[in-house]
Amino acid sequence: MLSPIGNNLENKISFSASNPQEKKLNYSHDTLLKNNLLTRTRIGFDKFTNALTIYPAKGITGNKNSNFYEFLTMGTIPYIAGSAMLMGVFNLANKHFSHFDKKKADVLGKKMALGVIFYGLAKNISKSFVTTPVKHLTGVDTELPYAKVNYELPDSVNDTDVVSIEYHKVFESIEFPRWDLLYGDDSKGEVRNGYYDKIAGKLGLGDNLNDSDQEVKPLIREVVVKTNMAKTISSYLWAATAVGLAMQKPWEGFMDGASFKFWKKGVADRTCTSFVKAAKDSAKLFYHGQGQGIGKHSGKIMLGAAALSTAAGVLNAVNFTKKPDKLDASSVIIPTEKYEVC
Amino acid sequence: MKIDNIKNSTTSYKGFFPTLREQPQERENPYALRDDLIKPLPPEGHLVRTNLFNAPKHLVDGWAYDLKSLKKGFNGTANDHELGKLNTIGLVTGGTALAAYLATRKQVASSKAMEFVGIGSFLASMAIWPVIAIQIPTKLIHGFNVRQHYKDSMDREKLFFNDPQYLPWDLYSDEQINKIGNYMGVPQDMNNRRDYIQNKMKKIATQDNTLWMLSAGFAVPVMSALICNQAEQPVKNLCAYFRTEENKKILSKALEAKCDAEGSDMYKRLDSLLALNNGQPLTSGVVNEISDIITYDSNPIVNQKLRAELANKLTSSNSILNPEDGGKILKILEKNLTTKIDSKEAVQALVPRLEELSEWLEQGGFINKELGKGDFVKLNGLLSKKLLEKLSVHNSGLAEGEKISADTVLEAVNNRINSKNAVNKFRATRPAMVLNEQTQEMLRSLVKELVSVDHKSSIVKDYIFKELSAAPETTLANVANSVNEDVFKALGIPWKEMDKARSNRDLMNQLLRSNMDRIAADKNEFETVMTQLADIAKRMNQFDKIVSKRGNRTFFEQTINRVLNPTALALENLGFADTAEAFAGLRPDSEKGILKAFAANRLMSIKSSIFRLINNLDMHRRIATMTNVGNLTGDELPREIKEEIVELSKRTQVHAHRSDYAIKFFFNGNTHPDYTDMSDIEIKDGKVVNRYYKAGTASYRDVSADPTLYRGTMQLMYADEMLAKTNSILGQKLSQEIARYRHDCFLYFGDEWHFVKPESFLTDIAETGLCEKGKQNYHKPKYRRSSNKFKYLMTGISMDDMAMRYAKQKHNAKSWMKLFGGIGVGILGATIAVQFFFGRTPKPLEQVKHD
Repeated sequence: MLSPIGNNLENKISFSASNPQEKKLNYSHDTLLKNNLLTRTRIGFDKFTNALTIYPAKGITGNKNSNFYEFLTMGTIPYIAGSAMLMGVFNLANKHFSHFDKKKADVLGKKMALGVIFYGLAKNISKSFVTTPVKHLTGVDTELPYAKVNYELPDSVNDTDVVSIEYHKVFESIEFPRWDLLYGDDSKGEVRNGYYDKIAGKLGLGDNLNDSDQEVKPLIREVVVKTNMAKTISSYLWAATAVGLAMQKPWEGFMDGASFKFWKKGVADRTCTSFVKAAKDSAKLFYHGQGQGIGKHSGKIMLGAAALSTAAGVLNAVNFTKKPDKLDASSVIIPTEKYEVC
Repeated sequence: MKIDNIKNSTTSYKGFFPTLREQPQERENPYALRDDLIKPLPPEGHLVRTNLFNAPKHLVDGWAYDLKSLKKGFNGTANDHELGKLNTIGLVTGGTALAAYLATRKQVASSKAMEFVGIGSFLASMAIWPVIAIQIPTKLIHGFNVRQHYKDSMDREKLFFNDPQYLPWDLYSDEQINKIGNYMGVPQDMNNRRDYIQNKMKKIATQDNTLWMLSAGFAVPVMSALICNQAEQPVKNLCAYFRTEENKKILSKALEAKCDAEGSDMYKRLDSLLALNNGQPLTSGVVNEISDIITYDSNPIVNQKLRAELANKLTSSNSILNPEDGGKILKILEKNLTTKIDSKEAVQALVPRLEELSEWLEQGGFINKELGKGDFVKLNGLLSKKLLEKLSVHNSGLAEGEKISADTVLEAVNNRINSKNAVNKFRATRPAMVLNEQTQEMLRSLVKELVSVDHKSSIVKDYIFKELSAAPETTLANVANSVNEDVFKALGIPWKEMDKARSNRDLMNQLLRSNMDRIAADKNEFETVMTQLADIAKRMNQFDKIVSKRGNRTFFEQTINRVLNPTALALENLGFADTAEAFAGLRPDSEKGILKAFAANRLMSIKSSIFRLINNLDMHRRIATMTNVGNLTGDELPREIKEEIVELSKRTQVHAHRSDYAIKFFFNGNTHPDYTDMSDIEIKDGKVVNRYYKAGTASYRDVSADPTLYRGTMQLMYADEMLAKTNSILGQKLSQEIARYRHDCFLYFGDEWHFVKPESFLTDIAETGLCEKGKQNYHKPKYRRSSNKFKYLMTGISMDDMAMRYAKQKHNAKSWMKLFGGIGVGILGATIAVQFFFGRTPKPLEQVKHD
């Protein structure tokens, strides 16, 4: 719906470039972004703040512009709230217990809290265990981000803020990847198939292909699917491994003595030293196990399963089921023959 | 074209649009349906309806789809929908792996099971929360299923309202939409009614989805924790059931157990050692190696006997010299002579040639003969004699100053240090006993017996551990826990008061005392509570199958005999009588004795606690009714001491600990009671109305220094007969058991052995029966010494300890439940309440009619 001019005048909204009230957008069209730490941090921060503020506000009022992206982004809320609540479940009631019970419950509670933190960290960090090697081996960056400019319906006749930016990944959808963003812009002197040429080279399909994009697209799809699968499965196993690590006894010493009042002299040093020692001892204990039988080897099995899922996932991702020949398609077409296109 | 024609043509057209290559056949109706045109397949999407009957199939189909997605993901052919399913698979896989890891670190079955319940409850909560907090309330408030699933034409199941920008409304019929509209109260005559209802549904769904995201993080952990909290006891019960069923079969397995003794580590190590030393002399080194291999680590006493007997059997005091030892003797001799004599020529002249020495040994009969200590002395003498003969020959041609003295040679030959002596060295290195076939066979048989009995014995120990050990979730521990809970339910002490007193022993004692008096004062209540306590005590009857009072009557006892006796016999036949005794002898520290004593002691510990309670309540009732109270009536004791006896008895029964029994109590009684008042004590509402005794008025004193008070207390607690009503409630068996318990307490806690004043011993009721009035001829009882452990077990847990433990556990559980139950209810309430405000959609403007 178009806003009547009268309304804009009434609200003193002007579309002139000099007006400070005009919303400055970073992007005017869908834009491919570089996958680096800065961009990831910026996107993460943007999504995080929106997930806690704008999107819930829109969603809870039933805004007609609420969409699936916002719903998925809001998935951060249960993660954060759930983590905090899970820590609370094991700690909040302890103060009501008798002294000795409280002491025991505190130890368990702190370990569980540490487990929750380790779970979140391991789950997120471990994804790169798969995506990074795949990127290096195939050239396909499955995490490649882009900014999507989204045009919304105005909420009211006075609403002029109808553009929003969403951060997606190029290969977020395997059925509708944003191939278009990967083509070079001829007008800017870029090679149109530059990206695809690079991938084709990495995958050993040869250089100077006539239609490298058509050759590599099926392969990219395959890489993306396999990588996503490996990333998903292995990240949960790494997360479980991290929780197992957090459950080791040496952490009790760290949590008993550690202080987080880093503004006091020497506290940061002591806490860090204590953390490193507890981490080392816990890792040893986790790996070597305790007691007899399966208990002695369960840590190794757990770690092995996580590492194996990652390694197998990477190997599977770079091993193509239908790798095309290096021959150019045109070279197998005989000009004198007649062909029927089905 | 007329408008009507177009209308007609579009209504008859079922597909979408013709392709560009198609040419309309009729100019008037270019979009008319033709069978020969390319057109999309008819849509097959539909709403998914699940009910009780098709839910299992739906579930299984879902799993099958997930697995198929996994396979396609592995092959790189999965689509977006299938990739989405992998997240669930990863979550379940990771969760299960974590639960499995944590379970391996837990000791007992229920704790292991709870790890899986934990992850299961978390996943279940994630699935259930949106259903109970959002789907059902929305259905009730707004009349439609906000979590409606549908299958698209590709058979992919999705949530209808997942993406508010893509809602396949065509799957809802007009009838369905109108029905929902009616439920919402949308006016029937509204323009674009379907659009309005759809917008309203979409708005509610968007709000609900947001609410789901906002609430799930808070609700799921709490819900999961609450599920775990409620599931814990059923899981424990289930594990206890399986464990009991499993235990029933364990003992039979011990008898039938087959053990591959020859495959055991011990046998293999012995075998290698025997092969290495086959036919060799059994030197102390070899014997030690054998002793290190053949062990019975499960029982140090057996091991000690075994080691001693092995050393005894394998060691001989005699030795045998081999012909080749001559060369070695000469080497040592030459070395020893060199240290004493400087002249090399002289040494060479003295040291015999090998043939010479062999001849001497042959002639002396020292070769291939068992040589005792005396033989070695003779051998040394022979060697000395022969060397002296050679010395005289050597000295004969020398000047007086160059001659070598006989003492020098004798010193070199008879070196005091054995190891340096040319002859004695071979006493240790050439033992007469060799590792022959017979010895090897004996050792092999010994190992087979030990490995076999260890295997069987470990099964018996496993059984007894699972039944009775002081570990969580053994059968006995489960019974003890249920006893704790049920005792305080039976006593009917208000929870509020127990909760207040849970951390204060004085308050708890006061509470218990007042409640025991309350129960004792009322006949009906006393009988009701006693009946419940008797029922609780009878739960221990299930352990009668393990330990019998006399002889080896139970299957457990018979099994121990059948496992250990054959081994003991076999060991005896092999010549290991002491080891056999250590296995199956009558001594309490034998393997058999330890197994039986362990079971008996564990049972005694729990039974004593329950019997103490019953005795306590009976005593309170006896005092309340002044029945069977021995010397509390009559004029034998002054009233002040009677009051003190009652006070000390009640105090002892409620809160005396094991240490109190050991030191014989301290009590704040009057050291100079009033002997002029010999009247009976006064009872009111079950309580003694003290005329003299006042708590805290006098300083504490050692009760054992006051024989009258101590004796009277012991008699009231343990010797005065129990009430007939109590006995009838308890039944014959339990009554006899408790009578025996009281009898033992009276003897072992109350006898003179523990009493400070030597002449202040009590009547030996073993000989005189219960202490009866007028029969106060004290005489020294038989010597009754008992271990501290025995007394420790007989004391049982004190009532206040039991109460405080129970109150603390219950308080913790209630506090937790109050906090998180409250949070859970709060989140659920808020989530439901807010849905009443959802879906407020402005009605469309009334259509303005223009005439």
